[in-house]
Amino acid sequence: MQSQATRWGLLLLWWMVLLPIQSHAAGSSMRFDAAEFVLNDATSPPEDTARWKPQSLPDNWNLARPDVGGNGWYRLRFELPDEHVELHAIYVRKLSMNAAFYVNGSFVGSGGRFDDPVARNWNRPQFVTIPPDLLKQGPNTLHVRLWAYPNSRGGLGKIELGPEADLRPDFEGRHFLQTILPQLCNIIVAAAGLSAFAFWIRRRNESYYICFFAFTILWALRSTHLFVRDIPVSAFCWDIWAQSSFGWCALLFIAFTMRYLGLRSPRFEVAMAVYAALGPILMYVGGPARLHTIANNWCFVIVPVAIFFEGFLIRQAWRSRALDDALLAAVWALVIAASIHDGLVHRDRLGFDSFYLVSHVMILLFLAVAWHQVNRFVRALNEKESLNLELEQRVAQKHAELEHNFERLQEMERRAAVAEERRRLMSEMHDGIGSQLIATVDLVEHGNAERTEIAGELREALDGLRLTIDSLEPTEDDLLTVLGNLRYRLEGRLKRQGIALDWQVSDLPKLPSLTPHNVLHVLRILQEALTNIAKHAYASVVTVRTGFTEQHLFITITDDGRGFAAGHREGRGFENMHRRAQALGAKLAITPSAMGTALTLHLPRSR
Amino acid sequence: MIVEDDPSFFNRFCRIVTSDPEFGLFAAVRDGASARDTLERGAPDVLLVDLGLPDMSGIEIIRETARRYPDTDIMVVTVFGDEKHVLASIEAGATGYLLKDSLPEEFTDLIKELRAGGSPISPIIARQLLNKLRPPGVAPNAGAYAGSMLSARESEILSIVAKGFSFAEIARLLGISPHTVTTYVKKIYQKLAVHSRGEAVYEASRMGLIR
Repeated sequence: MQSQATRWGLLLLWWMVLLPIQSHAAGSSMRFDAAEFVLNDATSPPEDTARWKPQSLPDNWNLARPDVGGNGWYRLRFELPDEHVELHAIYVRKLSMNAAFYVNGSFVGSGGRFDDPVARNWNRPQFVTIPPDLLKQGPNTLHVRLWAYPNSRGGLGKIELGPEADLRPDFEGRHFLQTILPQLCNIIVAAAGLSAFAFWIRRRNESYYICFFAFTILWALRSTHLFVRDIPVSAFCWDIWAQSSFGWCALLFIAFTMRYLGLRSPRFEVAMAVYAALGPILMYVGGPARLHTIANNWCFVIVPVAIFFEGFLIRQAWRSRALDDALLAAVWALVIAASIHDGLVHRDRLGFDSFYLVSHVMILLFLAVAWHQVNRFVRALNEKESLNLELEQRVAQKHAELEHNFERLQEMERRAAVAEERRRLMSEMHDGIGSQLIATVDLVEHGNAERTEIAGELREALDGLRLTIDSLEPTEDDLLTVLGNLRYRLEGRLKRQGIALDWQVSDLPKLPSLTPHNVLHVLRILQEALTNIAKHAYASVVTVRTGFTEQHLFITITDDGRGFAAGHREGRGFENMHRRAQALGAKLAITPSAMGTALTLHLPRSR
Repeated sequence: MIVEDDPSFFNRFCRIVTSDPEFGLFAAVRDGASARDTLERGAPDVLLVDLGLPDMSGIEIIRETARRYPDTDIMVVTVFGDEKHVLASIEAGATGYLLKDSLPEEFTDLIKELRAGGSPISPIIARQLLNKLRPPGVAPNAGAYAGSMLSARESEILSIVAKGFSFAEIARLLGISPHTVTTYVKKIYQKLAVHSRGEAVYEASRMGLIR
């Protein structure tokens, strides 16, 4: 892109600078810098009796006859050598606004119509071939009819006359440069603008694309005045449009670029809009004769703004150190230079046949902006790609971290569960089996206990151990299974002591709070109760009942003996039973009666 | 036949078995290898086996014996009679279990009961069997046992056992003899063993071990 732009730039420079310089291919053509002139409305060559006055060429009406416009005639006399076999042509590099050529009184060609709107040839070199039979050996006369608007660089440049083949290359070069090239540029600019528009359709929030589109279209429309010969409106209106649209383009470009670079100043934009609107109004009020002076001055005010803007662009390029910013600044500098050149041409400070450059430099500006946009687009794409890559990496990293955390959490949970289980078993060993074994040891060492009594104590300890293990088994939250297992463990011993178990249980709702921990509490409470009955109550039947209410499940153990609680209420066993009931959030009620004792454990259904 | 490595239990079991005139001691060994050798020579009527042998798990012995001598009644002897060990033994082919601290008469009664075709069961084991032998998705209280490995009666007995009722109470409830209840239990144990073998075959073929 960069090298392409450079090549384009060089090519354009060559066209602009070198082509105009290599004028006049050597040949036998004549070049006239003097003629005779008469201001005359005649539509055919005036008689020799008219008031012809000598006039040097180029004849710039702005200088020679300010405020004058209309029809004028030029007369040239020239001698042709003996033999002129070649086809001859007339070539005028610059004239304004329109001209018609007559050789020896006969019409040979013109730039178009002479009625308003007069054909616009101000930017068109004129080339007219002369029918061979019109030229004579010896003296010949050339009449040129010229139409000029007042104060608008009307006039006639130097006239060249000679072999058509000698003159044509120079004409072709100039014609291409002044007329064809602006048309080509217009196509490129319009295409760039349309692609920006297509982009804006998809991304409405990026307003600089629509600004760019407006800028290109305005410029393309404006540039037609360089090559359009026949206009659809009056010359006055057309001139107002052509002159003010130039200022508009400059202002619009400044506004657009400031937005593009992220520097938006609403006050500045409003000021520019007001100034832009002022131009055509002033020109209209001024009228045709003063239009060009007003336009000139109006445009000239924009120059300092443009120079200020150039400073801004240079600062931007300096800060960003980006090549495309630097290019933009350089091209804008060229635009200013070209505008100053054009301003000088307009004020007749340069040769009459100099032509305007700014249109040609403008294409560079469009290319610079387009390149800027492409760069921006490419940068965004690259950024997106690298962002995606980074995002992927970060997701992978987070994923690994999460996994690691999850593993750690699981490990911690496992450890906590193990610790809880150990704590529970330790407390069970300590309060339950441990104490029981110590009591038995004490019984063996100091007491005169029977062997059966000792065996009973030991079996009780063993039962406790089994209950502890049973409490670890899955119960599906079914309290009956828990009770059933207790019965299964203890019934044999009760039976041996002549106690029958009356199993009056009924189906119970599930108890979700039945964790191993809680199961063990229930088992131990009931074991304690049954053991006490077996030891102290002298009962023959123990009834186990279950039931439930809205809030509770309850288990009732009733014996028909002396009551297991008699005289043992303050014992270690009772303390343990109450402690465990408390841990369960359960209510333990012991109601002794003459017929025996009832122990009821109320377990809350939900905690 | 007794397989037990602990000397005091070994002596205790031998003493209990020999003191009952109805029993004759086929063999008594202290490790798995000797048990295998003995079993090479013939089949005992009842095999009492401890799970924690020095050279192998008692489960191995149970599995081999059950496969080889289907008529031999196998009893596991455990300290705690906990669900994990008992269920594993039943799956391997045992149909009864004994607690090591059982009184001599309980001990011999259980052997005789087993010989007569009945097995003991605890509520927790009953609950586990219900879960294992019933297809998933069927609620424990559901009346229909379609697709279950258990007959309606077997399922009924298991769920009553799981509620803590004794064999005698169940017999009264269902109007059958207590012995019939225990024979149901034994049948259920056998079903579990077959079911486990089936699962093992299924697992093996799934893993490509068997074609």
